[in-house]
Amino acid sequence: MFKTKRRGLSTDVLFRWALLFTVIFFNPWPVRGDQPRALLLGGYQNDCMIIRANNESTKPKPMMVLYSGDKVVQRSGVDGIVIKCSPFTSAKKLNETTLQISCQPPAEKKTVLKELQAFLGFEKDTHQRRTAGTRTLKDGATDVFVPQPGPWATVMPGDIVEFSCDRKGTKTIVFRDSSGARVFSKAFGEATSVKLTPQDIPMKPSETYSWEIEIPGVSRGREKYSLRLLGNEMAELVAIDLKKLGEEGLSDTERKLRTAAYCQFISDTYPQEADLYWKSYELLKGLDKAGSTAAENDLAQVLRDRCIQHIEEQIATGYKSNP
Amino acid sequence: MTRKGPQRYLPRIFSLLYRIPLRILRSLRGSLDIRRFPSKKRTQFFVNIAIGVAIVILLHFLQHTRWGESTLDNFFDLFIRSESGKAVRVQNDVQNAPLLFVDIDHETYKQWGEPLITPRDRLARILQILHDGEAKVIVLDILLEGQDCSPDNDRALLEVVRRIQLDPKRITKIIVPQRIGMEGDLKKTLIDALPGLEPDSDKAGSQNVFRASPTLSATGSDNIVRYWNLYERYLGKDGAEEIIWGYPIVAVLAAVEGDVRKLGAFEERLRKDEGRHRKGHELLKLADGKRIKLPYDKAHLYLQRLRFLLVPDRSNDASAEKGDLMGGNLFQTVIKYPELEYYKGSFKDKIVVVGNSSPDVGDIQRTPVGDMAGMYVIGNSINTILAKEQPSPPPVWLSIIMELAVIILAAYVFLYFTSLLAQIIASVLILLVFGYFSYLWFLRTGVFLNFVFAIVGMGFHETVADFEEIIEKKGKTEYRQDIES
Repeated sequence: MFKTKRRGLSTDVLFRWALLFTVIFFNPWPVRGDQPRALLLGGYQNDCMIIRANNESTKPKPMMVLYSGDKVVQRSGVDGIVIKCSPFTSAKKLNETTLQISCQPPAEKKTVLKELQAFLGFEKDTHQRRTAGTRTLKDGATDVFVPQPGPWATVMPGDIVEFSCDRKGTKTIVFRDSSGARVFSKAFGEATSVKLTPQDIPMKPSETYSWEIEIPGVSRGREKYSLRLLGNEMAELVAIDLKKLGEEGLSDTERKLRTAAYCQFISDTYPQEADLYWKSYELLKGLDKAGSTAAENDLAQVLRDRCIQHIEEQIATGYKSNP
Repeated sequence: MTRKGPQRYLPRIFSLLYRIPLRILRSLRGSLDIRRFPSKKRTQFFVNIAIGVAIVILLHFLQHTRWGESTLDNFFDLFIRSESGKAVRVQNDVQNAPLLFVDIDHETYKQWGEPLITPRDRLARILQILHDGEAKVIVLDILLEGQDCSPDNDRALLEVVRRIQLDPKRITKIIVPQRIGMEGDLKKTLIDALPGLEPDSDKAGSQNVFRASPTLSATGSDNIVRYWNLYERYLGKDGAEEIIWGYPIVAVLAAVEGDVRKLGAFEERLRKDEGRHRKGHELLKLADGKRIKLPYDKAHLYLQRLRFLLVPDRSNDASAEKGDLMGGNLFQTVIKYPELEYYKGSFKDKIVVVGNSSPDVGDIQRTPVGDMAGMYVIGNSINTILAKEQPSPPPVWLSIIMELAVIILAAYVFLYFTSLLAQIIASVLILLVFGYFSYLWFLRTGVFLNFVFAIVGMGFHETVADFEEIIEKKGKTEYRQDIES
């Protein structure tokens, strides 16, 4: 079956060639060697030099790879040099003029035995944590929308307006008048909202103000929203109507619902002058759901949906900067 | 000249490596020649062969069941993990790597105030830098549905996309994600508003902007992402089924060919519903000589399997498990947002994947090599067909030869040993010899020499042998009872 010789080609030779072919062709062993550990991104000056671990020195260039043990020397100081390090690597500051690349990878944990253990399933099983929620502009339960009171809104004298933002960080609300001059600012720390009246700012009737929420490290300069104090005539009209609603001897829920509906009606009737949807939304938020009838709750939901739709339309169409 | 130190032993070790197996085979020569077997033993040998053939046929039918796929996945995952483990030992070089990543990482996400929608003005800046840097293909792994809080930001992004779209030099191509809704329709995206980029209008990609499906495929039983998707079907305007290609194929074609026209004929066949029940694949030859295998079957277990050779850093990831590939091999080729300026000169002729990797954004996928952000899985899918061979099954003739070899080996082993011992010996032999050779072959060619079912078949062999023993004992008992009576 296994002839030792056949036409001068022994099985020994065949075996030897097969083994050699396997080693050369497949080369299953990974290349091991000194791997780049960091990348010199920039920030160096003309007096900068790279001293390799074997004491060979070279001039730096952008995107130059650095190895463990390499030193970056700059007589004018190394603070401005930007080095990107691979995992487990750091650029240690030896003194004011020298940085050294140092890599300390953890011991290799993956062994053949561990691989086999994983393959056979003799490992402790893990449980995956899954979030069962959504990530969206509005939430079914709370109707949080960003930002409040909306991209464009009008307010009445004496209104308490809640300005809110869902971002994290220490926040400051800043108001600017139509010329861009800063007229008012207030820090409100880590809280997500701040309540202000037009008098706090202070706002002049019919003038459009822009407002934004500043967070250190978050420069979103374009994210400005508009706010205007209603003109005297319109403010008077709305105040009279609201007063009438208050005098009709309605229950608290009914009064809030009617006022909310009125705010939406007046905003839709005079879209160039008034936008009180925010006020409507505030009133609906304050409704006592448990103490309301099913019909009242249904009506509240319809009005709440209209508020959300209004904000979304404002965002979609580009909100009015000069109503 | 005499060698000193351990080197002097090398020829002896090398000699032993081939002499030992050779001697073993020679010593077994007499025992393996079936012509010298007594007739009962020869019959048993052929019975074993018949059992082996029956088992192989049975297992082929079971290959596409949950059990079959799960068994195959176990072995494939072992290969994929080993290959990734090998890959992470060599860092990807920013100058030579064909793929770069612009990563909005967790730190950047926090600095931006953890926004609900990736700020479109920042995205516009990234795209502009990549366009200025003459990146070949930008693969945007950030959905463009819905509006930014500020319309100005949306406008800024649209302006950049428009500039890329109308660039007469056609240097940079951009791929934007296009999801399909529950009703099979295309979801609305920001770029729908651009002239010439209405849905269904940019299939050939003649305008430098391509829509592609950002989907991946996970095994249903364990939810591990193992496959990329070649295409998805959706309902066009007139209600007819249309095809939208997956990210990796569009990225590779855009990079090599400049458009996706070459997929036209294949798409036509798929659209005519011919591909729905067709088996096999088509070969697509690219301008650079590369051949891509396009499977008709959307759930092809081999051709769409991902190879994870691009492994991101997980050293700061609290969820990383003991033994996961921690350091990765991408520290040079992953560019964080604040580093963009430094990399300006490195984008030329590269495919650049732009995405979010913060776990808080929710695009973290389970893969055979551990958890990974979706943008890196997409990178790996592109790399699988761009830089490496697609995993594929062996040709039919090779499968038959391999299976015959295993059947004959099993027939011999079960002839000389008791069923349990035979199973152990045969399984170890197949694992060591076929398994290792199969792994090396896979690394080199992408072809997975399927020895999996041979090992599984050993278990069946044992069961059949047990039955045989029971029947044999029963026969003997009946014979004894006959004599006694």
